[in-house]
Amino acid sequence: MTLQSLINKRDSFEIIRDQIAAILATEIMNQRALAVSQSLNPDDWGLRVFSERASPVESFPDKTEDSTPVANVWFDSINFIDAGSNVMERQKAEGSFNIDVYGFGRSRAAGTGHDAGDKTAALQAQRAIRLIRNILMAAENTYLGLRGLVGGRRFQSITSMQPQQDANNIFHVVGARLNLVVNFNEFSPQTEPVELEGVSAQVFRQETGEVIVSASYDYT
Amino acid sequence: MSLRNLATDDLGRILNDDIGGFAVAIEIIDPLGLSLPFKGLSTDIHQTIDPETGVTVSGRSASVSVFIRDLQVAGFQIPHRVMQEEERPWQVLFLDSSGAEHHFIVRESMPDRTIGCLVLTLEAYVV
Repeated sequence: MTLQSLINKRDSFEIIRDQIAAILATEIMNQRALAVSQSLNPDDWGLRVFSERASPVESFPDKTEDSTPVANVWFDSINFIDAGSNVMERQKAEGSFNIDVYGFGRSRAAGTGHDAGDKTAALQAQRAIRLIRNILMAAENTYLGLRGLVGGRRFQSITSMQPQQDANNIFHVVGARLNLVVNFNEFSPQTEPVELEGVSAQVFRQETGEVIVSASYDYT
Repeated sequence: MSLRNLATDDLGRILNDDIGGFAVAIEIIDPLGLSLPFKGLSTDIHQTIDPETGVTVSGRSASVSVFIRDLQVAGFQIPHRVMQEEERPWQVLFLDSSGAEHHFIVRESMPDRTIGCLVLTLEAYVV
């Protein structure tokens, strides 16, 4: 017997991945507004958020003039947990989502010296780490805005990395990976019920307080 | 004249031949701000092949090759990477084939004193 209904909904892991990116984008916009309200440079709270992109470092100069750090949210893996799951419709899951950040640096003259591009790239990447960790671990985002679907989230690790690029690249790019583990449920299609017989009933409360159910149906 | 001296002289001619060869005008600025014109070969390319894996990697690489003897005659020491942020770095400027000027600083210095060729790998710089 085949499934009777079209699988036309997103799985929980897809919803969570998109929600992580949406939270980051929304909160960064808010952080920039807060910076402006405090007469601070909003660019210091800048972050460009992507989702499931293969090569976000391509967006760095010299393709554009925007050197704002980049974050790329992507789904990594799921471990299903038997305890707490059932064989019919719900599996308890622990999903792993990676948030790769890239900081860009270009050496520039500064007074009588210069600002080193490699150091700038590293500091930019670490600033992005700071923003992302604080945003996603904030109390307001305990359940990533998906309470009922998400049971909790925590960062498993933060690791610096170098993106795959020519070692002699004229620009400096430093990367880091934040691994976020999310506990959630995955649901599966259920058998469409077939109505065997319709029964209607009315529920009354008598003056004595007794509850009476009145139904009319044929039986053999 | 020895073969080595011949080779060195030939190298000098190749690196300075901006008429019939590939040499271009290269401006080098030392950390004290002294700017001198030289000639040499330049590269500024986008995609390269990782020699260890053979995988195409994306990124912009730039370099220049100049004749060490030209630097010595001009009174310049060998340009090198300046790590201290309190100092200005060695700067290199040259035009690309479209006539656009590009400003770099020295990332890595590779002098070949056997034949007299200095290769400088570069990184982008904002003045």
